Amino acid sequence: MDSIKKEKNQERCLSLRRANTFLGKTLLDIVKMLQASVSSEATAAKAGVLQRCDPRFKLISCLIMLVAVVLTREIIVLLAFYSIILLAAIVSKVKLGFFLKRTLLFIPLFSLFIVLPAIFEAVTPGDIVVRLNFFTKEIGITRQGLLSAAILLTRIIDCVSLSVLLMLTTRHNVLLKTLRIFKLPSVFVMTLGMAHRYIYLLLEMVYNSFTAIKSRVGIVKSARTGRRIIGLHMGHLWLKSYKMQNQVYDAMVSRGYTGEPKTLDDFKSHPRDFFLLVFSIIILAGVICLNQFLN
Amino acid sequence: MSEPIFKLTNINYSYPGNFPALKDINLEIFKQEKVALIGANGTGKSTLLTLLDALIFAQSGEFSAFGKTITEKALDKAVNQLEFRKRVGFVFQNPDVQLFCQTVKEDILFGPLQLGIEKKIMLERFETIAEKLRIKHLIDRSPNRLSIGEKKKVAIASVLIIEPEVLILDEPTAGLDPQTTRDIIDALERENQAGKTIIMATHDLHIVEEIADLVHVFGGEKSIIRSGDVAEIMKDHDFLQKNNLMHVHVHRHIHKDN
Ligand SMILES: Nc1ncnc2c1ncn2[C@@H]1O[C@H](COP(=O)(O)OP(=O)(O)OP(=O)(O)O)[C@@H](O)[C@H]1O
Ligand SMILES: [Mg+2]
Repeated sequence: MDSIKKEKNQERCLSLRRANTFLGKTLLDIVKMLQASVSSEATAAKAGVLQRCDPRFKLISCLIMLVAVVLTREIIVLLAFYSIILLAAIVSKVKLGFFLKRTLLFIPLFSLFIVLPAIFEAVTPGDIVVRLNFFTKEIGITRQGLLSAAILLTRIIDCVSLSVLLMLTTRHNVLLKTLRIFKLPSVFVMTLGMAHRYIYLLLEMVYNSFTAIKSRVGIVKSARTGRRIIGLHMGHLWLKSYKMQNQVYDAMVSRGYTGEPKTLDDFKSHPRDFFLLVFSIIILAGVICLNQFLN
Repeated sequence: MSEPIFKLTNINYSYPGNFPALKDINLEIFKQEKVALIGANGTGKSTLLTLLDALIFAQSGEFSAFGKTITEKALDKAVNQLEFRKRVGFVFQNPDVQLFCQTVKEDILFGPLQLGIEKKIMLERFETIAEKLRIKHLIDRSPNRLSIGEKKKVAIASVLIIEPEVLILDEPTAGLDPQTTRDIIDALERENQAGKTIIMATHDLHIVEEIADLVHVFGGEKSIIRSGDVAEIMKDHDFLQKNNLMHVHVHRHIHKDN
């Protein structure tokens, strides 16, 4: 008796799982992805070189380096930049595999449409390397085109790597705070931070309510009922988040908020932070000089 | 006794859309009292606490705090507002609405920063509170990553650090483990010994006797149906059961061959 019941139960569980995997998985993935974005806290908390820098200097130096990268026209120099970035990642105790995965994986997607056209004759005229037959039309790939595509690509890689490195070595909340040095009003910075926090919470609520549906309804038989149930829950969720939004405001007022949030700025700079700044300025100056020289 | 710090006369409140939530409330709360509000779900406890913290305002009736009548207009002046906020602290039922910063530390320091408490004093208080509530290991974490009990403790710390004269707490021990509950009761007890007034809503009858002298019971009509000494009300089991505050113990025997 018992064993049959058990088996039936197991079967039910399995089909339940199968029926709900798709949606459950997608949601799970979203939550996981968000958690991964928060998980840069792990690398940001390590005692590496860049982690120890004053975030204000780090941000400015990073911006200067970005300008330098954008101005650079020599592929060798761009590759040199990339090796400096990788070196900086290593001394900041960022796992290289993790770093490469984060930067290189999604670069092709983003840059394909910008870089690819550059190789063709129509965009970059010059010495033809290969000719492709496209139906009746003949398209040539030029050497100059390939070179400028390579430059474009390395430039994108450099920029993305720089930004990712900055994000990985700075705590998310500190990074937000540094935005204030650009005289962004604190309300704005605070709102950004709150958005981050509550998006996370909202997603968790979505996830929980989906699990709740699963546990209450069991197998969602048709896609239509599934959609209806989820629609209802979403409505409920929005109401809930609307109510919460009011309460968050009340909670702020209750602790003395009157419209302009005051925050604690506890940045401490150190001589080595100036070194970082000077280093990036020298590099920018070097790039500008090189450009002049090559002209 | 002297003047009450909170005095409510014939207070009525409805949420927008005409959802009545408080009916004809009369209440006086004196300095250093420990007051518990009990009542079934949806009887208006949270609403009353929100009103006491001057976050919502009654449609009719009079509410005065510290001898002054509190109206939306009176609080409009920044001076009055800040003074009131310094004197009254409110821990919300849902800790998630109270923790809106990026780290636990920022959340705890939010109140003192807004209220202009001196930096050195603020950081000293921070150390003490973090120690007493055992949340030192959490201070650099994001509130997203805390358990409900941890969030609750941080929310309480974020109010305690203001050192208000009146502490209003909405179910401070709901869903907490015994040790954490203990920590919070102890912290509240310390505050009360130091002269603070404590007002809280709770479903946890076990802690009521410990944490309160006076009890106000809310009924289905969204009004206070009984007020009195804690020991006396806690003894009246019939009354508590009738008002959904205590469930009838049924002994069920489960037969395996069923
Ligand atoms: N934002 C709101 N809008 C409309 N009605 C509300 C709102 N908040 C609460 N209410 C209603 O007001 C009444 C009192 O709610 P309140 O939250 O004060 O109850 P409570 O005693 O704190 O309940 P619980 O024990 O569940 O926390 C309830 O009937 C509730 O439905
Ligand atoms: Mg409540």
